[in-house]
Amino acid sequence: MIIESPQLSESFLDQVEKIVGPSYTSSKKLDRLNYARDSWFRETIKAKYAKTNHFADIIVWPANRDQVQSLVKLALLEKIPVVPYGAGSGVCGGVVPVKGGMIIDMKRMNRLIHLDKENGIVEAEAGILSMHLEDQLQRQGFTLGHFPSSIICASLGGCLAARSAGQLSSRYGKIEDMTLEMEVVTGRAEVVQTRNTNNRDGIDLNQIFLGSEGTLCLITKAKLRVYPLPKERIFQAVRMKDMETSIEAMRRFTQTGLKPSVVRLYDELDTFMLLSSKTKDHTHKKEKKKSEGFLAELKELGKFKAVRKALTFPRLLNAASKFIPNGCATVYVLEGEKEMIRREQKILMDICGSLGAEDLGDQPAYHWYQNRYRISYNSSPAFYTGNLIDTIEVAISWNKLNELYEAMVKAVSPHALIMAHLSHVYTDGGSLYFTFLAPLKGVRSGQKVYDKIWNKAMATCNKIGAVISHHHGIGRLKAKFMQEEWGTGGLDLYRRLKEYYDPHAIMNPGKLIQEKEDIAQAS
Amino acid sequence: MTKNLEAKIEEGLIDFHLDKTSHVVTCDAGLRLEDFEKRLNKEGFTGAYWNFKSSKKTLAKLLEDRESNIYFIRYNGLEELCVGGRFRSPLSSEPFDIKVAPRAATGSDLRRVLIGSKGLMGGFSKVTLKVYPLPEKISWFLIEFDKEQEAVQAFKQIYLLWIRPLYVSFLRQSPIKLKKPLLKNKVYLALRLSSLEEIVQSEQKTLQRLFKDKNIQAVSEKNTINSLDQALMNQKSFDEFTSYLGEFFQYNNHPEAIQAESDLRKFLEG
Repeated sequence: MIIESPQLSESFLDQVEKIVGPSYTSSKKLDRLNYARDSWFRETIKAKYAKTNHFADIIVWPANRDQVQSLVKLALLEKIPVVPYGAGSGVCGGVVPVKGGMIIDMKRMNRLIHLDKENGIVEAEAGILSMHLEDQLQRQGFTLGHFPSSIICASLGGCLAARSAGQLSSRYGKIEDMTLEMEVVTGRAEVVQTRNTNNRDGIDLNQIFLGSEGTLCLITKAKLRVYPLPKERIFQAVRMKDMETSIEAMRRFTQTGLKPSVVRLYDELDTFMLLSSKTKDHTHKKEKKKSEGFLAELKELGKFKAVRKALTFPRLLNAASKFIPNGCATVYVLEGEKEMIRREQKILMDICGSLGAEDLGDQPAYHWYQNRYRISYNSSPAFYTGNLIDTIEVAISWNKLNELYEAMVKAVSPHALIMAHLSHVYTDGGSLYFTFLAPLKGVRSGQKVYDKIWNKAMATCNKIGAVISHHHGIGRLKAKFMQEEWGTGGLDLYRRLKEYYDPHAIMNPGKLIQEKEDIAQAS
Repeated sequence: MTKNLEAKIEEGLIDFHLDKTSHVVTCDAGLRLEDFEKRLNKEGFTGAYWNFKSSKKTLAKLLEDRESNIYFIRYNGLEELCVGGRFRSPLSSEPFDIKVAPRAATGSDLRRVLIGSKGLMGGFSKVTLKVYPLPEKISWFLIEFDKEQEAVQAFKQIYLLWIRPLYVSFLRQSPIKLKKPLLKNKVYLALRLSSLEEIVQSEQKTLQRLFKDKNIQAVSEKNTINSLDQALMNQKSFDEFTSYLGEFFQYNNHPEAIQAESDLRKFLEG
């Protein structure tokens, strides 16, 4: 792997130093290597085999909005690509500096500016880590209700830029539902203040910048809705015979208009992982350490030669998983005022009971809640024991959810072991979250298998009418699927917005949509 | 709804497909609001949207102007109720369909950018909107205060505790006969609760506990509910109460934000 010297003029580097100060800029190879990727699995494969090939020329850490604006002005003058960087937890390659240039890392802009307790509104800078923001709010008796599993390594700005969802989204909504106002610096080097236009007229600028993944602007701060911490919490798990019946129960419950904070339905294989890790949790301490969720289980499984060998026959393994006699488990967490959540629990159990559910009590749900952040971080050990592992999150209306689940499993089964859960629900539909696992046998074959799985999965989504991302975003990974996702008409509209907010195309090139030159480069 | 329109829907000349599983309806955006709502009511559903001034407007026009929903506290505005559709835009080379899904993380939310753009970006020819079952139970809940500001403070507290009334208003001395007569020089926070019976009951119970030191009363008799509906559900009453909520919902009209919208508009028009 060769990291070439930065391709920027001395005068540019000098001016950057003048803006942020010499301590807050770096062109060191080590920094450029560290900032070459986020948590996108395809880039992780490349990194494992020392094949990383896109490096920024410089990384800068501005302290305030004015510095961000000055940096973008400078980049604009010299037509230098700008890549906004939060905390690097994205899984779609949204920060890969494909054309080099300047990475603007927002981490120094990490203040909670103001908490308005009376109105339930927090104002914070975009670089604050989600966990730090939540901790500061909770110390004052409030919560944002945004708990992505990446909470310890995801910035607020990153969440906003990718339309993130937390584990409690069924109650609190996704990050875009919480956002009231934003301040951004566009690719024109202009500061834009947005306003809340919900239920009144005006062009909704929030909805232009949210999810734009740095291709239009850098987000510098935002105002969001917060709530007092819930007084009570009820945990409840149920088991049903299959996915279809479980989806039906979730649908009926969600459409009562109630807002459970957590609703997670696991398919047969995922249920096996959930319940077996839960069982161990209550045996003895040594085993408890080992069992940290289903990915840990996969890691354990991956260590066994026989299972690794079986992963080379994924279709067979997937078919076998359907015969695991454990049905499908759903965990629910209800929170709020005592009278209300007790009544909610009764309604829930009436609905589930009418569909033949088995009451699993509170333990599986409580266990999940206690371990909810650990799961994602177990993908690394699974990777280092020689497995290719990634997740796909898609969304669709209720009438097609089961069809989508079955079609996705069928599409991916020939190439990888696949399991799923349904964990973000709304009155009109929900999001399925698939995890796939296959043996990793080198950089080229690994990428080939990886691409094949994604191509088939996205084609399946498009065929059934699902959206190709519910909360991970598009980045580089799914840019090539956006033509079908939005259609030419939708892309035309986005390009007009891009033309206005980033007339010189300096903002995060190669992300969100595939331009003609990207297609040529890829081929 | 005129018989003519009903017949056209039945004959398939006007598109109107109610998906009772997903609780969405897909229809021609040219349908008038009052016809749309009546048709849904016939099927046991509601569009959860109403605007006192615009019942004769088409869905396309309402979306174009993002006209406010009087039920926004419970169901949000049109930007949240509209989940997809077919759009024609002068900025695009061809019409395009917005996928029907509850949420997406596929870039800017084009659907929500189009809603409220006052035609600048074009208009919906077909639209998919969320629908909700007609409520099982309706009840008014009245809480007595000395001043409007105190009532507004109480509303904020209620909202942040996840009790979302269908409609909220101030109520002052009124000829309507109630179990506990309304007092002079007092203002009442009137909350119209509507949902499953069990949910309404639990909301009432929570409100009784929260405001146990206040003079409160729940109204469940049909005639009295109708009288309160007539007295409170009107434009004047809606405007008065929402005028107190600007800070809470951050309805700020920052000059910079207005300017930014205007600049974008000029560019797109050009």
